[in-house]
Amino acid sequence: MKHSQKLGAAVAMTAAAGLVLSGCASGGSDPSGPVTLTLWHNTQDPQAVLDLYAAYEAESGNKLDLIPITSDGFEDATLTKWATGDRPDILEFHVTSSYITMLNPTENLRDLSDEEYVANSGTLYDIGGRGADGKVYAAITTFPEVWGLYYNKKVLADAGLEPAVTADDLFSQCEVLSAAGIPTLSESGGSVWPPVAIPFLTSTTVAAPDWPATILDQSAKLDDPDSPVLEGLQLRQDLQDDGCMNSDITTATFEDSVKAVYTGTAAYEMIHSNIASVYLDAAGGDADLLDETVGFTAWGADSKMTVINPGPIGSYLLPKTGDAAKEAAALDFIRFVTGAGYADYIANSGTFPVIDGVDDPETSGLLTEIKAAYDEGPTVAMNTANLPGGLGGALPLIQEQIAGQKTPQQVATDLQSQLVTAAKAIGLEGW
Amino acid sequence: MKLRSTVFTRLRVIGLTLFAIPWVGIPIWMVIVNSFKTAGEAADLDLSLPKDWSVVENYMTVIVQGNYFQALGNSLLVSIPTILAVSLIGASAAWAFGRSRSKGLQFAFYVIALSMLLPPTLIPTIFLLRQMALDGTTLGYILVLIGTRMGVVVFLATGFVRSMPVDLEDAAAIDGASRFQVFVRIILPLLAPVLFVGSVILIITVWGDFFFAQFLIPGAGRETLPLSLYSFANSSAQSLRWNLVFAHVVMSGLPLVLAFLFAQKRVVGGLTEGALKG
Amino acid sequence: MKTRAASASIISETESSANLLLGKTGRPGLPLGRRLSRTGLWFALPAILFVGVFFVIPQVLNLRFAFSNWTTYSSEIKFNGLDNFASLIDQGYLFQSIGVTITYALIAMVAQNVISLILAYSLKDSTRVNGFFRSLFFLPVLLSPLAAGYIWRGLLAPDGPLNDFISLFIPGFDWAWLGETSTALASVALVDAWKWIGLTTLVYIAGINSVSKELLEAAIIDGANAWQTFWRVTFPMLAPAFTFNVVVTLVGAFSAYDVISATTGGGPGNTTRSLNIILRTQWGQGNFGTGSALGLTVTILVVVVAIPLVWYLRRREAKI
Repeated sequence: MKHSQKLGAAVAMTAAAGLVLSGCASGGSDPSGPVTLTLWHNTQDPQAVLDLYAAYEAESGNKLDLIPITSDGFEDATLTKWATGDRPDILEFHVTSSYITMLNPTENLRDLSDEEYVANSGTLYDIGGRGADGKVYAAITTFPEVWGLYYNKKVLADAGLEPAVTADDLFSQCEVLSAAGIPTLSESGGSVWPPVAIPFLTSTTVAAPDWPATILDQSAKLDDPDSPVLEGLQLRQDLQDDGCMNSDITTATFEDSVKAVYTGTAAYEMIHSNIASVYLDAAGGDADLLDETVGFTAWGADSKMTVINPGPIGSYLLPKTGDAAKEAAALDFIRFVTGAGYADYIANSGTFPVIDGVDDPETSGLLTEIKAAYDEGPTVAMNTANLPGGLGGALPLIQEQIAGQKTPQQVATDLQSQLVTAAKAIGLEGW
Repeated sequence: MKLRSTVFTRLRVIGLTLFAIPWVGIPIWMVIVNSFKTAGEAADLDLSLPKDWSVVENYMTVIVQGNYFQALGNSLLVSIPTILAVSLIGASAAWAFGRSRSKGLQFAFYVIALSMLLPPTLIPTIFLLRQMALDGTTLGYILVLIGTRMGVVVFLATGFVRSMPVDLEDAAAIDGASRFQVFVRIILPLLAPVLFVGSVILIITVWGDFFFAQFLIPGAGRETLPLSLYSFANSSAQSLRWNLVFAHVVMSGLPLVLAFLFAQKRVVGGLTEGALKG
Repeated sequence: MKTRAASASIISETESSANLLLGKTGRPGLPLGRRLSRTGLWFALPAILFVGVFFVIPQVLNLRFAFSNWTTYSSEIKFNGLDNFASLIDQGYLFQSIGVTITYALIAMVAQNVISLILAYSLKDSTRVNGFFRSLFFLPVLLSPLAAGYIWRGLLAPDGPLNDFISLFIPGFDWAWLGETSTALASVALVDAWKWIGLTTLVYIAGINSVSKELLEAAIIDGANAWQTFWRVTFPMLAPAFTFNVVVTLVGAFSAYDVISATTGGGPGNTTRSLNIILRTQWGQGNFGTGSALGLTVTILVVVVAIPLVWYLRRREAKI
């Protein structure tokens, strides 16, 4: 090809691309007809949630532009987009009070306190969905995460043990299991977040109910000698030092831990209820086989308690966008997913309902055990989730603790200074 | 003499093969063989052959659920204009920088060359695009790519221009050719090898860009291949399905591999013809 | 210089076609250089605009954020001096991650350049066999860093293929390459190097081939063996390729994120927490001011390292 022809072709191509792109760039909504709403959603939304979105579109005639946010790095991807001033019409995100505070709700989120579903959700909005000002900003459709111990039934039966429900149980069972050459707990440091389980569950189950308030009014600190968080970190350390954990903590992912417990190469995994689907995977999809092999129990450091935490999947917030038509449609969406569309969603997803008026679906034995733990209680919300910053910095700090680079005391001290930074940034009085 | 060199050649080839097997062979094998397995088997991440072959299912899942062709189209839509623009604009600037003695232009050259090394910042870039009402658009993403990748081509091409004797351009100028004509008919053809090399380096980074794509082109309809790989890998409420991830990796890399196989000789040729002056 | 031979041949070929295109025969006259300076600006302008708007301006804006108290909790962005850096130092993040980043970059750079040089020397002749090997070694370059990370995470697992192989010699070998604090950083840096070696090799091949044949022949006539010829003649003449490769690999590694994220995520402990990894953690906590300060640190690091390095290597080139 002659060079002048090449150049001409290149220019033509770029011009054509430009025309195509300008067509793509404009994406405005037709004011008179159906509305297009942007929804930032977690890529881990299961099929039932995706079906719920489709059901809304069919019912309302509106279109949902689903913007995927990858579940790996979900929090920082969402916060980064949010920081640039980008606002979706509907946001799927964590709904603990610490995360809602990160979105600067008084300025940016719409108050949903008077919506019907709030009154019909029992005590759900006592554990999450509210900002620091007490207003409800979230709509929660999915059952909260229930944290506890998954265990291999055969391993425990062979050792003549009942499922552990306290810290003392874990230590005494550790002696027996270690003698049999089986790690008591499979800790998945490779996935970064699971190791917060022991510290946070301990902190939640040993703390007095008013402990978070003492932190907020600065009469107590996270690194005080009697701090529940420090106790939790120390408990974790003791379990690791006593050889009660797997040998590959730093590289094991939670999928690896699931496999370990399922196949019986470890006895327990401390993690939350949404991981039940990973266990189902490990059982090749056979729910009955899973039920025979794996069980679930609630756990508390001193006494058995059920620790719960609202998760991001199926939890929605409405940002203020200033576009009246879209805001109306977004509210419409919320009302649909908590109202008309809710029954189908529950039946479809096999998860338990949190809004009155819908029956429990048919589920596997394992999930029924989890629900039983919830019903039996006493349930308590994870108390670290409502502190400024949500102790999000604990993840890398615990990694350092696992590697022996920091002691529990040092981790607690660092967490305290991160808390102070967050409190100052929020502008809390007295900080 | 001949026997010795043949022995050496044989040894060299054997040595290279022995090195290539663990170096390239095994990783590539790992990707391919695991893309043929079922999710359960692939979770073990080893080198064994599949017991249950799941080739068609895996690749079809990637194509359908992973929106492969749409993502491929988007990647092309982004890469081709970027590379064309950077090559043409970069070559034109390289000519000016290579020939000019102006202090101002020399300074501009150093800044642009430095941009090759500096990491671009994300949030201010998004702010800027919002001011221009381009954030979230594919056009905005392309413009950012052009601006941040210009450095490589300018750097390579300027060095090349400097090493070219001026006689040819002078002769053409004397004969009445306009600067534009000189550029198009003499400079561009001469720069072709260097631009080719620059394009190769460029396409590797642009094709695989994930970080900027994640924030600059949200929206399922506009995903490029890396975005689609990542969201696909994270899309299961269950565990990471390695078999599908690797199938996606194979399909994402295939266009580049094919393109490279065709162009291999020219890449080295372009480099040899003095792309490294800078 | 070295490519004068190559350039000359290209030019003689295109000269005749240029003359054909222009319909004239060449005549000596005014040097184009002088005329170009005045209008060179027009040719450089598009590039200057693009880089200025889409690269320089964001960097300047980032300066503002790096020294501000910006967090996700409030839309206020106020200047706060060096507080962000002080906070990062207090928490032990700043210097530790600078150390990780530099170590990572050095390991990757050295590994990459040494191995590439050896490969380039073996593959310098353009034969079909060599062409095959060059393409083969280039394949990892075409993989996305994310994919490369996932692959090596599997290969380096305690019960993975590498350890299986080593177990043939040392039974029961299950060292966690990516999980032990002593080897994680080096392992990840080597994965990064692995990914880019194909490209560095090609650059060196070009460099080796551009060494003028006369010089090489002269050396052989003088009685130098292959090793001496390489070190005394070829390697010095590789200076431009060397400069390019060293600078690009070193500086490229400063921005490392994808590979680390896909293999270790910053662990074990803090051993692979490069500046960019810490940056993302800060964003995840909503601390955009300190996050931008870390981004600025990467930029400063690049400038502080690259400029003297390039200057030094360029002087070395000129001397040679």
